[in-house]
Amino acid sequence: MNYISLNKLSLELAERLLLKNGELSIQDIKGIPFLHDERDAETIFFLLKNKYQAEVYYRKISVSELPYWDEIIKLKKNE
Amino acid sequence: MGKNRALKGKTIDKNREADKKIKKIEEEIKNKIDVLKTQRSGVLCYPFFLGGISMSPSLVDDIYEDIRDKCKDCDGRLDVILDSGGGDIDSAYNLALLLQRVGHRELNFIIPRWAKSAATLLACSGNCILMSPVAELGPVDPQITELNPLEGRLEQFSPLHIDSTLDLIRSEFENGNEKLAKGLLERLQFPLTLGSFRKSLDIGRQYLIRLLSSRMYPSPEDSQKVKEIANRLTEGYADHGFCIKIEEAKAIGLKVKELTGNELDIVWEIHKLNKERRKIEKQKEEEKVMDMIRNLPPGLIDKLPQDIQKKLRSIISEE
Repeated sequence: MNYISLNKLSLELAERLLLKNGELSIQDIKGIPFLHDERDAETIFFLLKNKYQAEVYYRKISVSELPYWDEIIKLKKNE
Repeated sequence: MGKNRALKGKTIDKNREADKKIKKIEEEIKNKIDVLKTQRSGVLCYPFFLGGISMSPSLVDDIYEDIRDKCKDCDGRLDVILDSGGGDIDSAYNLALLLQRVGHRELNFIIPRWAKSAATLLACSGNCILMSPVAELGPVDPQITELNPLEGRLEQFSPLHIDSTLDLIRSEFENGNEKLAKGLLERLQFPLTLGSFRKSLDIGRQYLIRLLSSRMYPSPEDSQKVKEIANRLTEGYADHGFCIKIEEAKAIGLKVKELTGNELDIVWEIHKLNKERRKIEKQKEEEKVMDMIRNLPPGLIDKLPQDIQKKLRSIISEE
């Protein structure tokens, strides 16, 4: 299986996860098991955000007071 | 069902373990930041760690909240440890003005490794940029991402590429390859908006001029120098990924200093801890995503293409 088809698989899977859960973060996409290049996560995030005109928000993911963030797309209620 | 529950329990245990490790790393980073503060005569140090997260209008709200809280005791001198690949240029400009307001006496940016694209613009809002020997700044030409409707794929380009495309078409015409040139012209997408894309270079340039002339070069005598730096950063590089290291940053006129001695040691330690933190976060995320995959309803999995179903099943059965 080549790199391009794996990338498409990541997109397909990310889309299903978004539809099932109503939201998906860039860290979630990076966690997809067959995503080879982390930069592809940003492309997938961008594509899904535009396709579903999704809202974007940030969530602090730090355990301490240090500011670490995750970026999340959230489907609008009527999706 | 029983297997799923057992796997879920295993994931929760792994997550707890990962959180413990992350907490320990974050405490170490916090300690290193405190040491850096002492080393740098008590200047307040704000960690601006975005990693792969891009700056955008809604992040401005969150950062503002965080800075209000963390920088309320700032004496007007502020160091910002910056780790970012960039993002929305208007948001970067907004955050630059916010950081200038907090660091109204002095504002310095410390770059362990990356401050690319819009993050370079942010760094240009300081009095000085402190860089490690492997720190990278980057060009500030905006990146335009569009879906090519003919080929159904995502294309990312710089407005500078518009010029090179038009140059190519022009040269084909001049060399008598009229058919090829016409063919290329017909393939151009969004011809009416190409001009506005090209114009978007001016936004970065204007922001850079404003920021550079407010801190690094406030004297009106330096206005020409400021314009030259802004032009160089917006139009002077062949590729958006160009690696601008300390020598190049100095050569184009930015006020930069190389981190050395103890300061370099501490900043580099912070960078390594950050990298370690990101690695653990990613492992945690992979566990979470596997859980999400296992919980996809069969109906949704069955609608996926055969190859993805096969791949998913092989991953799940490997566990």
